[in-house]
Amino acid sequence: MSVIVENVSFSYARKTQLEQMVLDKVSLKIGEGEFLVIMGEVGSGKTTLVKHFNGLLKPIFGKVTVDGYNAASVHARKLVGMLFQFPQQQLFARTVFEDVAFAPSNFGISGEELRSKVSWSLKLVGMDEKITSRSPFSLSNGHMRLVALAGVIAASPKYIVLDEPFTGLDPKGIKELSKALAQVHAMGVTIVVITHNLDHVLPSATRMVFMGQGKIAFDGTPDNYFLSTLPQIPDIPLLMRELRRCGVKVKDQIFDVEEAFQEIMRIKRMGTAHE
Amino acid sequence: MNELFFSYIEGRSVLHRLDPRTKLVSVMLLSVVVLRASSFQDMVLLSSAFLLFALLAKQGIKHHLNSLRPMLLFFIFIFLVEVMFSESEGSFYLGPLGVSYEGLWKGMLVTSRFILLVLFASLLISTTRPALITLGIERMLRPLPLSLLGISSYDLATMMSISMRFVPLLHESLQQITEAQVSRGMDLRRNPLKAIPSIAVPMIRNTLRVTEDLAMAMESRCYQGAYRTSMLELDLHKEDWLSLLMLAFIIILFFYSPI
Repeated sequence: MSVIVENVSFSYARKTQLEQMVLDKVSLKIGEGEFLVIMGEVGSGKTTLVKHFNGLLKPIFGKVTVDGYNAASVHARKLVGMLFQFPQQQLFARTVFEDVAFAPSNFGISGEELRSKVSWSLKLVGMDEKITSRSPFSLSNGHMRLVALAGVIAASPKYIVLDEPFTGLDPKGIKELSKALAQVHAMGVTIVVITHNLDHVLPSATRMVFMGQGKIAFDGTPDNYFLSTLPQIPDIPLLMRELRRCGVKVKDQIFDVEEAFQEIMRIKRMGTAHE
Repeated sequence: MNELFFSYIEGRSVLHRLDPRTKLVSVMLLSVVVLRASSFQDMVLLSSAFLLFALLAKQGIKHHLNSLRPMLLFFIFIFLVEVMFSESEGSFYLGPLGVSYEGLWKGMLVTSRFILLVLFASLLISTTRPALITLGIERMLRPLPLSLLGISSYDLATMMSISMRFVPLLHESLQQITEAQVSRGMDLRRNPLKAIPSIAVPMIRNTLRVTEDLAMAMESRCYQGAYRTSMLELDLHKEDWLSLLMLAFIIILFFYSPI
């Protein structure tokens, strides 16, 4: 069971002077349990691609299926939860409870089951259940975003797609959201994240896709991505790559400052012992 | 990225080169003619004029037709109002509703008038930079004694150009919110009472936020609405006078057509 994108092409403003091919024969298969990170420059077609996953956009050529269903069907929409950029701007209900309950109630869940789904999803994103009666607009920017994420999780989708979820968040908000995503992924939900800053998702990422000019320029593991010459490689993996290139034997899977510091100290200690 | 409409499209056509005042006056005069149009021949003449202008603008018709899309519901509404509230006797029945051919004709006429108005406005906006529209409006309003009302021609011109600029922005925002709520299972057709607040509340909040940001950005750049110098000075050329003459010809043909 997976999201399958087959030879998909798409352009906006078709048959006008402004027509420009945004996706050019893109093929991609996202398996269950993956944590896929999509990167690429502005205008490379990342958002356009993910909007095909739940039928918000329909391909001009090609086909998109979700667990065998056409992506534009209600079945597929139930399976794919989508969180757009600045999701806090999509909150509307009087209370946090009503907002989080919006998606599951639209999919026919009610009563006790609905209540438990709301409290389960809020707990999963690390929010206190006491806030359910508060207005979502009284929360901080970061917490509003977590409520929006809870609103997507509450519908129990198998796949969650997030479009630049970290934009505009402070370090604390980024940390909370990264933790929440890791927790949701650990429960078996497939996560697809579009981001310009790999640092926030690196520890969880299992696969990387880099898009350029409407095509997939790279598709592989994060380690292979760091060996490539593609842009947007975070500082720490870049440093490790350069150290390896200079003959220093550093370990794989080093993503943050603390891990890099420990590794450099280890090599230093080895060097001292050798002398 | 979004399907653009009601936006300026870069070009070097005759229409792009015309003075904004020429285009503004033309659209105003054409709007009067459109609202006076009452026969099939009038509509054919005005539609032909639009096609001719669109051809001159070298933009293709599709872009202008896209401008009609957000107003589709409004067009359907005014058509139905005209059909249902026509005073003539019903010629045939659609369920309990008596519909006359006259009502149908009136509905089509009024709807066509609005469609043509939008198309001419789209032509103006797609061939004139927003800054030039503002400048054109301001220059046309300057001789009027607006200060007696406590406003200036600069205020009015800025308000108008901002309103026009906001149309595609609001449409984009509406599309984003609708997509987000549709992803959460919203079905506008099946449950409109539940769906409308889920779109309207974020829409109003976002619009207020954007306008507040814009006001602050303008104030930060010392906008005060008083007399301002302009980087561009407007000047009517031979092309402008020729266009106005051509327009006068169309209007004369319209009012004094032998058909």
